[in-house]
Amino acid sequence: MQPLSVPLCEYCRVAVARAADPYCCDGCRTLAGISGPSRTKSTPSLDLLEERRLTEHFGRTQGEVVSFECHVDALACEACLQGLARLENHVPGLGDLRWDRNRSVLSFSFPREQEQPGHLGRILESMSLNPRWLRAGEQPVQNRTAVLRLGLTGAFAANIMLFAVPIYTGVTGTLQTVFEWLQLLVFLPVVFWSAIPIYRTAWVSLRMRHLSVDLPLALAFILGSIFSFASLAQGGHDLYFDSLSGFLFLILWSRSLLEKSLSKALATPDLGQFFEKPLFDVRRNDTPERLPWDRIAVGDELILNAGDRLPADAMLLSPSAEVETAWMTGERTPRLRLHGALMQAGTRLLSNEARMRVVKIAEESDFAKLLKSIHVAGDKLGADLEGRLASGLVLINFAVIAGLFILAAPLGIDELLRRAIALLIVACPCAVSFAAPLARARANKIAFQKGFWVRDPRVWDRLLSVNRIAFDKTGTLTGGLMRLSSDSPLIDAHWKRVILSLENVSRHPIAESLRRLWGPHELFEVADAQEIPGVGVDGRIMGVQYQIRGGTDEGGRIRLDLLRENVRVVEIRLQDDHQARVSEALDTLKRGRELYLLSGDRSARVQAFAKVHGFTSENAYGDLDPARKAEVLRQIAPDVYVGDGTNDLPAMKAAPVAVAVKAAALEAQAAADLVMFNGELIRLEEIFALAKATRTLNRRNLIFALIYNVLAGIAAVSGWIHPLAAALLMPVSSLLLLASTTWGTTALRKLEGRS
Amino acid sequence: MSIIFLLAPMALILSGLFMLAFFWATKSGQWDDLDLTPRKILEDQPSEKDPYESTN
Repeated sequence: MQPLSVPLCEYCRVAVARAADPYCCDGCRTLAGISGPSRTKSTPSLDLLEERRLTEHFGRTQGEVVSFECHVDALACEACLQGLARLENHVPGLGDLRWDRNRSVLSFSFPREQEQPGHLGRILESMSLNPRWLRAGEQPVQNRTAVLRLGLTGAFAANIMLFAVPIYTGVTGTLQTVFEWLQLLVFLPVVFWSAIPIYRTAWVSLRMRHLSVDLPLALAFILGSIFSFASLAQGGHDLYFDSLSGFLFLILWSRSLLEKSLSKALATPDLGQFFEKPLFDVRRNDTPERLPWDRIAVGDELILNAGDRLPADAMLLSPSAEVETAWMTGERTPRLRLHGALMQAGTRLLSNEARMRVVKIAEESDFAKLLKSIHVAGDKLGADLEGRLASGLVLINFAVIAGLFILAAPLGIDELLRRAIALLIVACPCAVSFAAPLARARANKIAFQKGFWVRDPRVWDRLLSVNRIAFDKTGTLTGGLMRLSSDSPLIDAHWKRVILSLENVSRHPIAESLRRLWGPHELFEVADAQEIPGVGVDGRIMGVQYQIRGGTDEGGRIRLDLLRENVRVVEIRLQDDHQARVSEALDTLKRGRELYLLSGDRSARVQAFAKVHGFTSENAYGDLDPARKAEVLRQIAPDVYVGDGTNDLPAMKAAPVAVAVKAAALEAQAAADLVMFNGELIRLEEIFALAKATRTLNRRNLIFALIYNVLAGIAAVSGWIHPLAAALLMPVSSLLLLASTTWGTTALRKLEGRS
Repeated sequence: MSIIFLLAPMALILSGLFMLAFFWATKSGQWDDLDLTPRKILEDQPSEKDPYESTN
């Protein structure tokens, strides 16, 4: 029987949906247009079932999105990254394509039920990127081949040098010939094995039509090798085995040095760094012990001192404790917790010694989830100036060589080749492509000290000129502690106790405010205590059903009713207490900028708030639902949007730079470019200054790299430097750059010092 | 001078042996974790009873 013929995509060989279409998607059409049909025809196509299996094994489902990670090792240059970034516009559903340079991991996501990891994997394979899929939580294996390559190339280069030096010092005759052939023998593994990464990146960049920095290097290597082989075969003595192997070793070494410093700068802090204390006082089975945070188990009794961060989710055993939960709520104001209250890992104790019972270990807490979400972030892929500049320099190098061959033809082919090889080696713009990531990594580190997590390093470019800032009102500028309104009725001590007992399950600003207002009380035992988000709190005390219900009254104040068996027994009126530092922050941020206020709150209240805080009345928008908020945001087109992420996710996604002032919602972190974890709005000003200082550092680095390239290029073209000297000079630019970034600019050092 | 014809291959063989040793060391993961390895000597031996795990 004739097997059923299924039309396959011309590019990736996946079955296509429409027989008339030679490609399965626009991504393949684009790639085929770039590089011609793929040569991976022998591999079987992936069907839907295989896609599903890949998703089951390697997908991480988060809401409506499934994300994937794969380890790739050929993305050495920025130009290749830019080429890859184009895929996001063409592969249907593919989103959030990120490159984690630190781990050499490419991550991306698809909407649920539309996952095509295999499809993308096939495209990556056809680009010679060899993706290796990673399961959730799996770390890529240390790249031992890179270490081996570096070490062995060093040994080969040293051995070649051993036979080259006698020739430079005058050995002639048979011995010279023997030494030359021995050099060739040791050079063979260098040309056929050590240089593979350079060939591969050059090949990938050619296929993606990008001029990568490895292209001239590969060309110099191949040209030099062929020229030396030919010279040796004809009995000549123009050999470059020593220069080429030395240069390859130095380039591998300088790159590993830059990668290592970048990894160090990009490393995100782990849980241990947050908990600060090496050992905690714990009572386990009534035996006192001192344990590190990762040894604390459920059921242990923890004894914390003032200033300690809670290393696990725990229940308060002491009668009361004052804490700060800025990492979660963005609020640094002290909060009162009463006996039995649940506290999350990361909470900082402000009052004196407190005892608590561990209910969930740190690794499983929301705090750990938050840190993990930042660990997987990586760099969003996109075109950048440095990548283009590096490509431009490569093009200039090629143009100069072409010019040299035309204008200086009388010098003879040997001399021309020697100069061309020296130029290709010495003027390699490797440092240029490392300059920006290094500067950005440094900025990320300083931002972290200031209380910001940078989720997308591209914000540094977008924060250079901030003229318009839009704020969400509720939860961002308000939502702090409240005070009793002057017309609120007096409340009996018994009802205070009832309300505090019921509110003990809640972390809502209203509950926090009441605890703060009324202070520690002995609490009732509450059965079936339950917080209903947006509605109130329910519970039974001594068999009686109580409810707390909230709402706003006609004066814009918050009204709280305590219901006993559905009958109102107490009424409280609260007023939002706008903190002085919000006003101070707004005053600072207002200088030279236009501020906007967007809120879902009633227009009258928004206008009143705007008046107090210096927003012009036409810049304050009220009665906005989340979708309308995003729409207004698009009309205003601010440079930065600051929100709390609970009800303004569409707005955050619509803004060029979204700042989440609270880190509690994981969805908000996903949409935010910057996550604030210390709640100090005024520090945004420092972040804007940091963006400018980073640009200065980046420019200085680029200027250094350019000056080096031009000077070295002129020297090579004029024939002043031999390819061997070029090989030795080449890492100078990388070291110069590293030193410049480590030293930083005056503004950067100042910003670092003020943290 | 002809001694060089003996010394050169010997040098090559010797460096080849070192390269083999390096190859073995890399493949067996000797350089995988250069930062944390020195601290390991300060930690408890895994063969001993773990004092933290034992009480629970």
